[in-house]
Amino acid sequence: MNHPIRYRRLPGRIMGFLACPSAWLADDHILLIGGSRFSEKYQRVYFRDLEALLIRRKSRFVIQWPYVLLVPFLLFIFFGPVSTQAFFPIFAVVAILVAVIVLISVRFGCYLDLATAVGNVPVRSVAFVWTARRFAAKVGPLVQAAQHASTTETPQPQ
Amino acid sequence: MLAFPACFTEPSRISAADLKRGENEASCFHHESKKAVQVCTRCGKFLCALCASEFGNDVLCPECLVAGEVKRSDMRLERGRTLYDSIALTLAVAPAMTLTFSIFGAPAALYVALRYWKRPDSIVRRFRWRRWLAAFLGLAQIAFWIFAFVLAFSRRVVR
Repeated sequence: MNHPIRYRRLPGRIMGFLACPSAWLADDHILLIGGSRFSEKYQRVYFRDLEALLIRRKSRFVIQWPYVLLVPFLLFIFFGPVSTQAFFPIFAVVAILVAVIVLISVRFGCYLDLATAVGNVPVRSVAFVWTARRFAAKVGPLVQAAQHASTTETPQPQ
Repeated sequence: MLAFPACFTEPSRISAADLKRGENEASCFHHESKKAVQVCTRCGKFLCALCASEFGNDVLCPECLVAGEVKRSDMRLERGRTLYDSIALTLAVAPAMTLTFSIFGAPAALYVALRYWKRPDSIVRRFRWRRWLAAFLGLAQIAFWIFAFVLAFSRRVVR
């Protein structure tokens, strides 16, 4: 009975400090993984129960650990032996990077929910519109096919 | 919004008439007055429409559902896992950055890696490299500390 399920990663990944939520695709369901770095919590949404994918465009700031790579640069330019001539170009590059991150979060941030008959299940691993579109492009046809198959299989009442 | 056909179909409802058992019909294992419509694919109990839960191609009774979740006999029913391989790897790597704390971290990493060696990893990972790496790093650090102590004591003895 305990057959191993092969999961494929769905678009969207957040590399947080404490949690790395992700979404995975199986043959008949979507697996959402939450929890922390040392434990995982699973939530499954079966294709036949999925009523809609809801993409809400809203600014969303997600702190990810690669952003920390900017911190040594900032410490170096503020406290390191940097000449005045070098200070402004390095500071400008860091400021532009931060501005780009903020702009992308404001302009392209989004929340993706999986709507079912009993409520919405948030997909925390999807934070940007383009990722949500790729998610929908991958999941949509499979759900359509599964629900079409289930409606044709079920005998309709006379 | 991307809507699927399930959004426009009425959810199926179970009426009292559907549950009512006729004279020559089999009854549900849990509800004697209700008609059996499914059989549990795991234990074979007869189930009414209220007791039967569908999972893919299987139909499970409430007991098998709980057993699958608690005993982890079915991957589809698991609700979470503790990642002992990640714990062991963190214990092996994080204290090693300070060097001195690795004297505590390395044995702890080795203990966690060996103690929970057979426990399953993440449900989606296919390789067990974290566990192997944690055990290797733990052993390497312990060997380093033994070597360092032996070296320090042998020099003292020579003096």
